[in-house]
Amino acid sequence: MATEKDLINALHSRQISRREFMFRMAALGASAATATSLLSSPAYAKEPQKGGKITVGVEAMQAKDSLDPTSYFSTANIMMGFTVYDSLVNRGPDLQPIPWLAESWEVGADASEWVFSLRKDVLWHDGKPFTADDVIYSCGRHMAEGSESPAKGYMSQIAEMSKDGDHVVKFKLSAPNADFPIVLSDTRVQISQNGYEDFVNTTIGTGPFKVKEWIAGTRYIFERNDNYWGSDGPWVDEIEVVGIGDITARVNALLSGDINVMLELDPKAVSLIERNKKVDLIRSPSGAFVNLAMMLDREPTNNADFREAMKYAVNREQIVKNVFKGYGSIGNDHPISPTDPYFCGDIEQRMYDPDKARFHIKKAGLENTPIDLYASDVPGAGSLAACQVVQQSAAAAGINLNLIQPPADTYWSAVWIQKPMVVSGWDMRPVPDLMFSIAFKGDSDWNETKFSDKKFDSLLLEARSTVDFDKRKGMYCEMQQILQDDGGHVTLAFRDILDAKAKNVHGISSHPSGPLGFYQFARTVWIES
Amino acid sequence: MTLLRLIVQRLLLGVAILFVVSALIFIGTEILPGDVAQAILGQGATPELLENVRIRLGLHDPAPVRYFRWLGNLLSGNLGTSMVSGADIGQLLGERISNTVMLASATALIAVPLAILLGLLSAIKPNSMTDRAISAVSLSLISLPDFLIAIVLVMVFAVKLGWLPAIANLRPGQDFFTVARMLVLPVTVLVFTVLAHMVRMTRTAVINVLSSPATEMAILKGVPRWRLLLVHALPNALAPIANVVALNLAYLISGIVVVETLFNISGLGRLMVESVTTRDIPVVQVCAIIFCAVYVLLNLLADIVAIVSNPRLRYPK
Repeated sequence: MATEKDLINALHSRQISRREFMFRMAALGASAATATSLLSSPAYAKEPQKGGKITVGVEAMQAKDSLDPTSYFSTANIMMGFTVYDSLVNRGPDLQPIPWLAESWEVGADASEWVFSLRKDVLWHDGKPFTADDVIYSCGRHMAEGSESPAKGYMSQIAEMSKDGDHVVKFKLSAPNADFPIVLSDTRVQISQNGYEDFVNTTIGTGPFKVKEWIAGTRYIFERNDNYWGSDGPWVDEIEVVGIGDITARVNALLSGDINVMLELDPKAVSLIERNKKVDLIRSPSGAFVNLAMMLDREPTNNADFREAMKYAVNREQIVKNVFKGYGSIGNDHPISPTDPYFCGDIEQRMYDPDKARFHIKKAGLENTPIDLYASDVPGAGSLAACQVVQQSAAAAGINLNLIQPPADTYWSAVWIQKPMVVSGWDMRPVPDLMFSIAFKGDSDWNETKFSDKKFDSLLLEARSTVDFDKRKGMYCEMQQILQDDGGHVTLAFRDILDAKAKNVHGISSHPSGPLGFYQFARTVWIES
Repeated sequence: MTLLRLIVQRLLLGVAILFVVSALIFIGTEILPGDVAQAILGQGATPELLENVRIRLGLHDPAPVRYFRWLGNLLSGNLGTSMVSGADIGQLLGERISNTVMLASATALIAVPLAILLGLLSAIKPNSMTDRAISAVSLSLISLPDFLIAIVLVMVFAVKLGWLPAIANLRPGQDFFTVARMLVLPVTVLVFTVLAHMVRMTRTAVINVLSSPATEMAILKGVPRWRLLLVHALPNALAPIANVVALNLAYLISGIVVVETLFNISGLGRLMVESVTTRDIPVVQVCAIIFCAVYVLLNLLADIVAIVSNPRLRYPK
């Protein structure tokens, strides 16, 4: 249930209309007079203003930051990408595809042929018109021989691209995919200029801001693109991104006014923000989650009773309450969150049950045997603390977890998909298909639990070519049940995305797919003078 | 003549040390688990993508081949490019060096005279109230971790009072006043961390000289106290003081990662730490060589000061 503060924030960022605001305030029990007085307060009555400078504080500025869409690696990096580039298809807060550089699309008979019509009024920062060649070039870079793009896997479903005039692109896929437009809304599939290769010091995009200065790891400054094709923004003159590694220093910089927007707040720091009257929290409930990954192909996590014991030994409510300070929700050992239209409500929620856990750990013959759990904050803030809570609640059930904290810099290469039980984390994927195919399909490189189930894989393929929503939901429901029963995930929590901003900064919406309005706040943000 | 020979000798030795250090650093980064390809790709790594990156960066060549390829480039004046970003290392270093040097010299300009002054004040009357107060304060400051001092200073002066910025967002073309305002807090923290070491060394060295027969002779001769201290004692105590100042300056160039991180200053220390985490060996190597060179040169300078200030060393028997 949205609180009054959430509603005010939503109104702030124009996600809900004034009428909806009044209606929902009434539902919360606020009198019409209160709601009206909130509405007539200056901040809501004003239209966006041009001018001013936004300084965004992010976790790090690093040499590996890049303006090459095929090499993005961090949240801050993706956000900077969306500042200078546009994608072909964008994604609404309801996770539906919305036309962007492509103004419309049509699907062929079996969802393996797609025709996209492009906008004709888009200019590159250097004044050249945007055309079909740019799209074919940008998508091709991900799939090319020798490509190092993490998007290579799912972009390789494109078997053939061709243009029909300057503003129509045809995609032929190797297999039907009813979700193809949403694949093109992926954060890495941003469109760069045909033939552009040297991204070291600057780039050319179609996006709301131009690169003013870009020195990897040192300084990132963007200036407004006055020829931007969209109508809602950009408003501010300049955006600068600064990396402040220490969380306390980052919050201090926001409180002292040295930065006025902060990307991704640690739940630990929420109380600092809430206590201060000069800043606001931006909260986006999301399908991003933190999980334990138990590998099904090795000891001791290949033991079904051990996995069952772990699933009952986790106190999910306590993790959401203590670690995520209430900014999250409990999971049910499959990756689909309650915010997703395909979430299966029929599956029984697994609860903390030390007795059942003890029964299964005894059956597995591992009662009180020390078992390693690799814990770290690398998968996301709070994941280490969540593991410590798991250690406590599991101890009460006779499960003796030995917490190991490996070095952060090799977590993904030396621990993840190497050690039997590790903490992991995933960002929300816009459709269940992507989540299932990346993390659970038998032959995926990112199948962290080495889960392999014929029924699951065949349902996955079947759903791809099923266009009917209810039929598809039935299939996805069955797949969620399979994962909950036999999978190697223990979902520790779905975590809300938390950002923060100064009071006089407006126009940042909340979006389940990513921080700061799905990374795209640059376009809509404005400052009240 | 001896001085010149010493300088040449030490410089040659310094170059040899640089080679050894570069080889050791290279071996060290080789021993670390993981490589630059895994660091670049992170969670997105697949065997195929890793292979593509490794081929592009030539990581399949044996370690000695890679080391000597790098060394050859260096000797021909080519610092190379970062494996991670593809940026030219010279360009990567430029602004960071100037930031670091600015921070270090601002700190040194305040800390060195202050430390010598406080050291002399302490030495005039050992175990007096002044001496004890100076010792107590400087030792407490060095005992508090720098990040704690930094956070407390930021809380008070940036967040509560709003007098100074919480981060130092340095960039070329800023006017002197802006830069000075941004540097106040980081320089204060650094002065606190290096002060005690130099104060104690000055105090000890001067006290030593003051208890020598030569000083007693001077007192008997009726030399005034200030003259005794500044003209007789200080020059004789200069050698150990120069040594400790050199060490602290070298530390200011290479070891201030915490302050750089907390105040968001893009400097050399942070570059090196970050490059180690991403296994960006060419950058790590160049940073290590710069730090090593700084140590060699500053130590050489300290020795020259010692020799110049001491006629006995200038004209050995």
